[in-house]
Amino acid sequence: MNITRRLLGTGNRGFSVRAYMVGLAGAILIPALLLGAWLTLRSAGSERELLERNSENKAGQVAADIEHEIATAKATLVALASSRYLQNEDFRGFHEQLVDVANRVGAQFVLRAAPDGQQVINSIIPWGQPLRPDAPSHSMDALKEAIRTGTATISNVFFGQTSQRFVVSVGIPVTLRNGAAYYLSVAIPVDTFAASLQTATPQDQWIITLFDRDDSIIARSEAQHDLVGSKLRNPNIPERASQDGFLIGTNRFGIAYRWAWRRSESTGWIVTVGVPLSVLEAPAQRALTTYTAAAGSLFILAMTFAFVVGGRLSQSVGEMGIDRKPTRDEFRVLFESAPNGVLVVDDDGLMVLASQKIERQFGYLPDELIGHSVEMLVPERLREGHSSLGRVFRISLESGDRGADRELFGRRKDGSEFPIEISLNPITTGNGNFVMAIIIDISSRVLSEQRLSAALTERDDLRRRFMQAQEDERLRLAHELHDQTAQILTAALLELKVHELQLTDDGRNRARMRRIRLEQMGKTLHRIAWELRPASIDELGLTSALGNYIAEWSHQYAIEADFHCGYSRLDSISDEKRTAIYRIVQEALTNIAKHATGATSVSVVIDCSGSILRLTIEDNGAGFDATPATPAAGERREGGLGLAGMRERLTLIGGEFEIESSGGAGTTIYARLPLDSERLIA
Amino acid sequence: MTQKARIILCDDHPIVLAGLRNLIASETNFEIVGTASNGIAALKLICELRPDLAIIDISMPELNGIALARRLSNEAPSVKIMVLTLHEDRAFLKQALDAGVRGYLLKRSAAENLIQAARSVLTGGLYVDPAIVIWSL
Repeated sequence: MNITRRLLGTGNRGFSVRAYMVGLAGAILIPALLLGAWLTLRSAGSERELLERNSENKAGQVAADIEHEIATAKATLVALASSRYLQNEDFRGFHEQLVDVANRVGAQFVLRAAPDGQQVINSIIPWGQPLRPDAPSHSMDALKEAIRTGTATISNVFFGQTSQRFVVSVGIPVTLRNGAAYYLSVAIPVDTFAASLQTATPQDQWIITLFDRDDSIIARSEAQHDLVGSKLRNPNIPERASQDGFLIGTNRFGIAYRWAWRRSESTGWIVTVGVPLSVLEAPAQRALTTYTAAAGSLFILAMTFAFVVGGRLSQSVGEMGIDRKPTRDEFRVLFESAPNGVLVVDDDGLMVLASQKIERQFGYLPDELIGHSVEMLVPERLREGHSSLGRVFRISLESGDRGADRELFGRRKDGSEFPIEISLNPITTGNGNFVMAIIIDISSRVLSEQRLSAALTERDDLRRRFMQAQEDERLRLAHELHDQTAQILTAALLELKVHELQLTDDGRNRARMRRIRLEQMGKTLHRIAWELRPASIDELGLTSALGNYIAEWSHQYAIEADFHCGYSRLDSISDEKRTAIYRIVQEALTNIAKHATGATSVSVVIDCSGSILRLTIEDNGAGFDATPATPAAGERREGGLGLAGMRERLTLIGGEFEIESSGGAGTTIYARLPLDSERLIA
Repeated sequence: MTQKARIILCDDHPIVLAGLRNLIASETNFEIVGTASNGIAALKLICELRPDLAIIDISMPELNGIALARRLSNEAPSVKIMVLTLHEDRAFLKQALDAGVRGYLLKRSAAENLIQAARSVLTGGLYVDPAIVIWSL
């Protein structure tokens, strides 16, 4: 299994890719190769047909040549028959003439007397020499037939007794003017035919044979001398049924031949042209061999290639095209699986690719967006100007801006709007410039932000109202103590005093002691009321109240304190802000007294810059590390609002708070307040 | 002293007025010629009666004691003014003195020191309650 796997690729995935490649190559190649083989065989077949036709034509041509030969012989005989020697029965003279002609054409002439066939003249026997007394039977048959039909006769092959060689004989009947009948014949040596057959044979392996009517071989293009006169004809050639045809047989050595044959009309002889089947089939075999070699090589090459490429491919095949080019489907899956909606827009602002998330976000059907302007995703009121989505895309394209997250509004198909965040990335491809956009629906985020903001505003408002309520309550309590309790106490003290005056010395002293206790209570009441809310803020104004407070503080702690107010309308600002300023100064001075070791001088300055009121409190004490996390800063919270409390109080009424301090260099507190209702910190 | 000092009391708290009246009545040299419970009424009364001494509160409706003292220093400069107040802030003291007040007495020490303070002022002196240290002057 492992070996198979290693051969075919790596594991199942490799196997499938390699097998797929090999299978694909095979599926393409095999039909193509079969078609090629068929075409090759057809082409070879037509070559064979050409050869066969050639052999048939050759048979016809040879037959025609033979007939021409015979016709020539007949014409010669006819010409000789009209010789005046013969007509005058001057046999000696006719003998001379026949010898003369025989020498020229290479044949033998014989003149026989008609009734008995007795030779009268034989061209190869000198005049006066005895002739052969007997007449061979086939000569007699030819003579009789010629006399009977009055036409020329053509013999089969026979061995001439006189000439001592194989000949065929052509004879015509001759009737003289005196009525004497003769028979004039010419014996043509078959070698003549054999020579012409040899000449006609186009290739060595071809065999052309001439058979007579008794199926004896008259002539043959090969082995003429061995075979002449013998009977070798294939018995399958029909006797009379047709003039030509072919058959498949063997030669005398058992080699397979295709025999094309043709029957000569005038002689009844048959010409066969034999072509070895091996010759006929040679083109097909040759073509097939060549083709098989070529196609086989091609097949092996292709399979090897497919095998190797398939193996290589299998090694680099990754899921989803992560380590190779992804397929269209894989690309789509990757594109659609992006966690947010993805949109691709071309440089004309037309959408060319949109993920389903985009389509769903904007309420469109699949592919409904493709080819449309990206502006259809934007509310109409935003299609022009800076927020135009097309413009945003163009800028991104032109500047190569990757596009910081932009918050815009999207428009659904039904016209409803929703906040979106869009990130852009320009892409340059061979097919033009595009911008890829990630669009996120931030409705819920915006809603959360709004809720948070509202909650924070409400919280701040509540804290302000809480502080105000606290301050109001302090004021109410202070007034209550001052206007009611303290007055009643005063009245009581006065009445006690009057009563005291009416007592004797001893009683007076005791009453006085109690009165003094009540006076101490009055002092305490005053202090409580003052701490709750210094009446001087309301009665004399903040500047006086602060001045007094600072002076008192300075006296109490023996630290030089300087107060300067550069803003004359300090009492025209809201009670909330005045209270805040007073409390911050109060807190800062308390802190200095507690923590600013070695402080000998404090400066409190209020001034105004534009619409900002500035409060600066500076000391030359030990200072501290102003980092809020340090314990020193934390300690300062003890017993009062602390730094955090000051900061919060200011923040709630729209101000800012800053503190600068370092070891040994004192501490400076900067508080800034808006004079109007605007906040410094949005 | 052959003639009783004529005094007007101004305070918006009736029980304080009553207490003061009883205390002053115990002093044979003093005579209360009128009382008022707000600043405007006090101004009118003082201008009309021209007492020797006006003992006024600072926190009063209509017109507070400091403002009243300022008006009086113009309209009735002969009347000596003493402030009787709960306010221990020196800011008030400074303002009062600037307004022409000759005496500054805290209510809680009135029982003990009122008569003495009134005498000091009536004899042309300046009286400041000892509970308020005068370092800031």
